[in-house]
Amino acid sequence: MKRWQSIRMKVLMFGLLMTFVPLSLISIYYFTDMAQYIEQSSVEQQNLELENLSNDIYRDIEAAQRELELLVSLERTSGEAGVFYDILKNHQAFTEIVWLSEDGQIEERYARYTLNEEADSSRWAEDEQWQEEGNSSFSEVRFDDFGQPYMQITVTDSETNRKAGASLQLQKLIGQVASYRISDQASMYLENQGGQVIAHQDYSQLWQEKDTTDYDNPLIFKTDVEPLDWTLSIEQPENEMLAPLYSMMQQGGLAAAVLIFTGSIISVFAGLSFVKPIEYLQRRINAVKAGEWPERMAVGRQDEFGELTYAFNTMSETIQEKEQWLQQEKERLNIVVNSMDAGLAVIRKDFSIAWMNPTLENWLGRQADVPCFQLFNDRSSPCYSCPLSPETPFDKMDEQLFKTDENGRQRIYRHRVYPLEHTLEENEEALIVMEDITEEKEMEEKLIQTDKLSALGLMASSFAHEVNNPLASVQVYSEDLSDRLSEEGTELIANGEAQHYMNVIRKNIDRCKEITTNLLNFSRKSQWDMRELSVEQVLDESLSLMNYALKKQGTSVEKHCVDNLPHIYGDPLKLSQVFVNLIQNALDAMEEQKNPLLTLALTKGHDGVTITVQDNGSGISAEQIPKLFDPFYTSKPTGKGTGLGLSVCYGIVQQMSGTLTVESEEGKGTTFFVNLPA
Amino acid sequence: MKMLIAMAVLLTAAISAFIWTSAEDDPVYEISVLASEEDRLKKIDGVVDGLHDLGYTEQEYRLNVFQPEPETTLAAAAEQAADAEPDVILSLGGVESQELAEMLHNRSVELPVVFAGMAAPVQTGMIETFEEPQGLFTGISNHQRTLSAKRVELFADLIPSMERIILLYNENIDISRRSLAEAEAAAEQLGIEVTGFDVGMETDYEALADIVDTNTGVMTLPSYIIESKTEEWVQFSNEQEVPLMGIHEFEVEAGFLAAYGTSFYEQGLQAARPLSLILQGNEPEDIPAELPDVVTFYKNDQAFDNWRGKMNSDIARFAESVQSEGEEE
Repeated sequence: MKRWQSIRMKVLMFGLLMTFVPLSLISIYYFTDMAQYIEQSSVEQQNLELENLSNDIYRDIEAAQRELELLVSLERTSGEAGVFYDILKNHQAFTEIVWLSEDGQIEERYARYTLNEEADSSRWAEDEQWQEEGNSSFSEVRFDDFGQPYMQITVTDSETNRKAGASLQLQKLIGQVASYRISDQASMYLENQGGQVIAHQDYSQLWQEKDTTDYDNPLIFKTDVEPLDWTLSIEQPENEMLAPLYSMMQQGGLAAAVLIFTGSIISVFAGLSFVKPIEYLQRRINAVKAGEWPERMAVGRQDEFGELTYAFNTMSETIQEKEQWLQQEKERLNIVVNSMDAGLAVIRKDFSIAWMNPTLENWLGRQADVPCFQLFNDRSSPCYSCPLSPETPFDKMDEQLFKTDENGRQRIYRHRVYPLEHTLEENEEALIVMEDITEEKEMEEKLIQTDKLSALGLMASSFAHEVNNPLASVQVYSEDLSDRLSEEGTELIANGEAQHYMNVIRKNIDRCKEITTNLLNFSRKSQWDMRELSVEQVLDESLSLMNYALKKQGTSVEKHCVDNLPHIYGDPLKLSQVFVNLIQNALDAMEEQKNPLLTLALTKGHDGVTITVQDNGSGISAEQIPKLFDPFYTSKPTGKGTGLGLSVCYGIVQQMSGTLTVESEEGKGTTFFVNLPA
Repeated sequence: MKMLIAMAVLLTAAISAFIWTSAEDDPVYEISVLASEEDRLKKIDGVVDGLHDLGYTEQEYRLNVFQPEPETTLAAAAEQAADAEPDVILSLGGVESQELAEMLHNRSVELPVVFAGMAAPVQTGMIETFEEPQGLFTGISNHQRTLSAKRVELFADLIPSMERIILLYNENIDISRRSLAEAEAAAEQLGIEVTGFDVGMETDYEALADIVDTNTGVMTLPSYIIESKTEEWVQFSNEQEVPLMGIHEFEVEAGFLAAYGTSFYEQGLQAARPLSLILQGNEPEDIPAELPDVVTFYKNDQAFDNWRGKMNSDIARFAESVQSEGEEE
């Protein structure tokens, strides 16, 4: 495992990313949003400042205008001063109010600072350009004897043509504009309708036309002051206006960096605290993998890692115990496998041999590179029923094979193959069990032969009677022929009677020959001879052998055979032995039966032929049935049975891939079913 | 691992400290305030409100008040005000401004001074002209010298039956003498008989009473000595049953019949403008001195009732009624 692939590095990277990425994104979003907000707020604030101050100026001018309009609209007598004083009281910006004649001469004058009596008869308004606004006129900005700026307003009543005027001091207005502090660098200035600066923070710029800006790259905000057509402006260096933004970004950036760094450190430590027990656990697991058994790990934590450590300790102990158990089991298994007579081998999917036990090695030699079918069967292809073959329908294999040993003796092996279930698909394996059954087969043959001899013994008197009868006929005919030949001579030959005698004799001799032939055939010790045969024919020959015994016991025989009974594949002599045994057992069971009846039926079975042998004898108890096919078990009286009959029958039928089953009811009879595959 | 933790803590602390120190503090303007008497401290209220109206927060400036203690002089207070190395000195009256001018001249120190109300800044040499002060001083003139003429006119118009006005002044005070001249000129123009009476340091009330008769009014002229004897003038007025005309609102509150002038608060409020201009980098010589924005005519209705004279109702509409001290509306 590369270092960067370790969980430690992944946790560290995860911690860093989960801190850096979200905080960076949040910071970027925050800064962007705040930048827009601050810039927008600054602009709005400057505009708001302008609007407020502009509105203040407008309200002062408008209020003065309204007061004068009200004054000229009033009906008053000359010298009535109260209304003038009211206006002066209410409007501190008015330094004087005058009542004018239609031609603009001062008729009455009320001043705030000076004596009212200073009025002269000259025109109140100086000759200059006045700005007309409805029925009002506004002079340019002037300065009084004290250098104080003021403006004159005249209002004419459109109906009565009465005129009034007022001097409006501007020092407060101008001073407020000039001294208003927006920021350290921002400046506010007021321009009149001619573009001259009439108020500015920098007094050196007063009464000049504003043709340059106060700063490089300034942001300029302007608003008009109605109705004077003045312009109120704010100039502010862009850097200063955005200074809060820069400051915020600087401090915010550093704060974000600190947060990211701190968060990363915390994440790294948190990650390492998670990784550390995992790495410790990994080292312990590697130690276990290397075959070491470390001591129990201390369970110091109360969290999932603590539980994991506890579980690992438990698992480690369990594995240790199971490994020891497995070692014991393996040792036992080795002893069993190595000492057993059967040969064992494990083969892979490609039929190569993965393992074989010493017994099999002793039989076949250690040839690891040879496919099993060459090693066991000397074949060029897998066995037909091998479950490892790709197209085989069989899930296991059980067959016999023959090999000649080093002494030239042919040996019989039982060859079984069992697929192993718990294997990986690519290495599918099967267990081969090879058993040397040569001696077992020889013993079976001996048993069969013994059983056959036993049957022959039982049939000996029957054979004698069977043979004796034709022989007696032969004797009688031959003696009578001899006598007549001596008496009648050639006449006997000529009339053909001698021929008749000879035919009878020969017929009886043929009968004897047939009987002895059958007997010889039955008693012949033969190897298995598997071939196609007719079950009915074998059954008939068997009945023939038992004919005398059946007759002697007065047993009625019923035989039923369906048409077109198929031939089967088997050994006729062995099958005859089975039938003889079954008929003999039926006869024994019906000894006490007054009307013994043997019913033989040949029917087509599921995949072959079913032979039913039924008697109406004494039957077999339920307790005896399970032991019926055991060798040397007999229910017959001592000396009457060897206990091998049914056991041999079972072996023969099984050898022919058939089945032998029994149904019996005590006192009513027994039925044997022989199923043989076609 | 411990080393790593320690490094992380140190780095965090360093960056935090950097952030903390990088935050620029806004400058705090130091303003020394020189006051000759307690009453004039009311101007400071106006200054504070004015600076607030002009966009200053209280955290941006500091007003350090210097005034003579019982054992010290105004000159000493002026020196202390300069020693504080302020950005600007705020003078609360004419006498304070004259003291500061002398002190700055003697010490050859150039500190901008804003006067919050003085009677004749040009005449006393504080400034060259209102338009171009040309010096270390600028500020608000309370216009009291000029207004002395207007006050004679208003006083005479308010009480039509009055035949003579006694003008109280102080011969030792320059502005007081100048105001007397202004008032006398106005009286002559208006055809009003006036008599000047020097109150001196210790006023001879008997002498003053001797020249008071029926249809006589008394009007005070600018003088800090006269201002300091407000209660005595009220008592004299009540005893002699003569109408009394003053300058300040507090005099009307004390029992004067009427007064015409600008209040201490208004002077302070207006002085905030030149203060702001200086704090923003202008020189005093470039900032025109101003006349008062607000000049108010005050009258004490109770005093009128006590006096039982007849008042011109037209002029009375110009006046703002003021209650006597301790009197509930």
